[in-house]
Amino acid sequence: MFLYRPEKLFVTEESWEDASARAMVDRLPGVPVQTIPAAESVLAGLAQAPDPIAQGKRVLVLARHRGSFLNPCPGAGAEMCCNYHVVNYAANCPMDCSYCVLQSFLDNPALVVFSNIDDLLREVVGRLSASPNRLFRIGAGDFSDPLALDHITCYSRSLVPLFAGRPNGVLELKTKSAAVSNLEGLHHGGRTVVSWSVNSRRVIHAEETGTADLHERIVAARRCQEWGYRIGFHFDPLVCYPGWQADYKSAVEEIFRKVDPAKVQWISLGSLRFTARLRDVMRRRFPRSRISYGEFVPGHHGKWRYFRPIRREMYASMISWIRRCAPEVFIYLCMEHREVWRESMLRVPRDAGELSDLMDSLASGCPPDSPRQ
Amino acid sequence: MIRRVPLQDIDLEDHSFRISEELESDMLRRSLLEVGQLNPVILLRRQAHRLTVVAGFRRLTALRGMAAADAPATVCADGEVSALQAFRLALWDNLSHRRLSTLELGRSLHVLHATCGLTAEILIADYLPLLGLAPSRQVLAAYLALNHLHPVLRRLVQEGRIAVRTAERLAGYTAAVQEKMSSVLGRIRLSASLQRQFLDAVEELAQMQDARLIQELEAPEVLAVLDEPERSPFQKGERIMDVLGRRLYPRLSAARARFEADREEMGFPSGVRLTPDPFFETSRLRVEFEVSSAAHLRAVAAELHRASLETGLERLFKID
Repeated sequence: MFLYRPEKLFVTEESWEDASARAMVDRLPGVPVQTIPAAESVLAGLAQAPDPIAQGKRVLVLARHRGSFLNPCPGAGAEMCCNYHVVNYAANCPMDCSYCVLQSFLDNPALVVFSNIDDLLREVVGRLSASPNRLFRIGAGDFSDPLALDHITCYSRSLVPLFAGRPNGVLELKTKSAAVSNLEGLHHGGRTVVSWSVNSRRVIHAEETGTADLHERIVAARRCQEWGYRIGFHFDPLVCYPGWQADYKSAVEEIFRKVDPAKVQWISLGSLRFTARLRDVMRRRFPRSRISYGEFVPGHHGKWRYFRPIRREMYASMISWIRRCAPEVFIYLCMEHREVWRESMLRVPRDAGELSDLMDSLASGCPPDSPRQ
Repeated sequence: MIRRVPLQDIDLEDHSFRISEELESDMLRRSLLEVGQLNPVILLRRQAHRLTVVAGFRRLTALRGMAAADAPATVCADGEVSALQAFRLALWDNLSHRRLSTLELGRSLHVLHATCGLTAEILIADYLPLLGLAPSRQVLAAYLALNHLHPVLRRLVQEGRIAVRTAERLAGYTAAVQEKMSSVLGRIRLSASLQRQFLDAVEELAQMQDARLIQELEAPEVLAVLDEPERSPFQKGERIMDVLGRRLYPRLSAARARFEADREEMGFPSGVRLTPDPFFETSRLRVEFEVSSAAHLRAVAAELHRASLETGLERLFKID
C-alpha cells in the first residue's frame, strides 16, 4: 500500500513551537525542511507548476489553523441530513481521486497539516462538555483522509482515547487508506467508528490514485473489527458505467465475506455529484477519466447528479445486494431528498430529525427505537 | 520610387503578407479596364530575382487575368525595410479605406505574428485595438486560430454563419474532423450560442462513448436530418440539436416525451398548463391556468375534475 512521504516539508515559524510539528519532522528523516512565514507562502511556487494541485500533494506544510476545527457537515440543512459534524486536522489529501471535491474547493493546493492539535482537542472537549445531553457524531475526513497521514501525524493516538472517555461523542475516521496500525491497542471505549469509503474495483483502479485497493481496505476493516472497533462503509460516489451492476455486487459480496455484518455500524450510499467547476477541473486533470460524462442533470446546491431514475436504480440494486449479505445493517443515503429515499428504500425517516436520532442511537450503541429498514 | 515591374518577376504564390480574403473582383477588373491602375502596388525584394507582394494582391490578380505585362509598383529592398515596416504599409493602406472582414483580421494578425515576428503582448496591446478588437489573449487566440480552418469553414465564417469563437474551437480539431464539421455546419444554421452547444454536445457524446467526433457527426439520425429536403437550414439546426439532446440524455428525453404523451392523453382543458420539475428531480407538478370570470373558473375546475378521474393520472407523477 502507498504510504505518503512528501518531497519537501515546510514548517511555519509559529508551528515550530508545537511539539506535534517537531515530532512530525522527526518522523520524516531525510525530507528537506524549510521554515516559512505562513502556509500561504508556498502558493506562488505551486502556482507555477503545470498542475498546482498535483504539485501541492508533493509538499507537506505544517501550520497552525486559525478558525474553528469542529463544524457542521456541508450536508447540514439538506432535507434529509444526518446532522453530522466534521473535525479537520488537515486540509488536502495525499491521495488523488479524480472526483475529489477538494480540487475545486481549497484555495491552497498544498497539503497542510494543522500543528496546533492541542487547540483541536480542547475545542472538541469544550463543545462536548458544553452540551452533555446532546450526542455529537463527529467525522474526520472531510478535508483530508484522516488515516492516510496518520503515520506522520499520529493524531489518531490522541483523538481516539479522547472520545473513549466522552459518552456524548462518537468519532468516525472515514478513510480510503489501509494504514490502521496506529489504532491497534488504543483505548477506544467503543466510541470510534472506523469507516471506509469503498467503490468497485474498476473505479478504485481508474479513479482513486494513491488509495488502498479494495482488498487492502477490507483487510484493514477486519483488523479494526478484531480490535473491537465498530466499522462502517460508504459506497460514495456510486458511478454508473457499463457493467456497474456486476462490479458493485461483487464489491459488496467481497466485503461481507471478510467482515462480520453484525459489527458494521452503518453503510451509506451516495451517487457521483459535482459542481460545474469541479467537472472542469476533473476533465483538465484527468483527461482519460470518463466518469464526468453521462446523463447528469443540475440538481440542488448547484451540483450535477445522475438523472433520478438512474440513481434510484443504483441505490435499489445496492440495497438489495447489501441486504442479502447483511439483512440488519443500517443503510442511509447521503445528500438525497426524501423522494429518492422513498423510491430506493423500504422505510423513509419522517424528516432530518428522525434520521439524526436514528444515527445517534446507532452511534451511542443503543438499538434504535424505530425498526431498521 | 514608382516604376513599372514585369508581372513575371512578381511571386503571386507567396502569400506571406496577404490580407485580402477574396482575390477575385469583377469591379476591380472593370476599374482597371476603364481607368487603369490608380495606385502602385507595394513589393518587397527578398531574393535576387523574385518580388514578394506586400500590398496589391487583388490588383495583381486582376492584371494577371487581363494578361497585362507589368504594373506600377513601389519596390522595397529587404535591407531597406523590415518585414514589419513593409506589412504596416499594406495594413494602413487597407485600413485607410475599408473595414477588414473577420478572416482578414485573422490574416493580418497571423502575418504580424508569424512573418513579422511580433509577440502576443505587442499584438494585444497595439494591434488588437487598432483592428477594432478587444485587447485580450483570448481574442488574439481566436483570431489567430482562423488561419488554420478548413476552406469551407472559412467560407462559413466569411458569410457570418460561424461565430469567431466557434471557429476558434473548430480550428483546434484535426483536418478530418474539420472537414466533417464543415459538411454538417454548411447545411444547418445555428445561432452563436447554439453553435457552442452543438460543439459541446458532439464532444460530450464522443467522450461518453469513447468514440471519435467524426462518428458522432456520422450518426444515422444526424445524417437523416441533413438529408431532409423540405426543411430549411434553420429547421435542420433545431432538429440536429434535438437529436443530439436525445443522444446525450436518452432517459431524460424519453421521460419528457412520455410526460407529454400522458398529458395529451389525460385531456386537460386547453389553457391549463402542466409543468413538471425541469429534470424530474422531484415529482412536483406545477398546474397553472387563468380565468376571467366565476363561470370560467367553474368550467375549468369541472374539466380539471374530469381529467383528474382518468385512471392514468398517476403516470404524470411517475418517472421511469
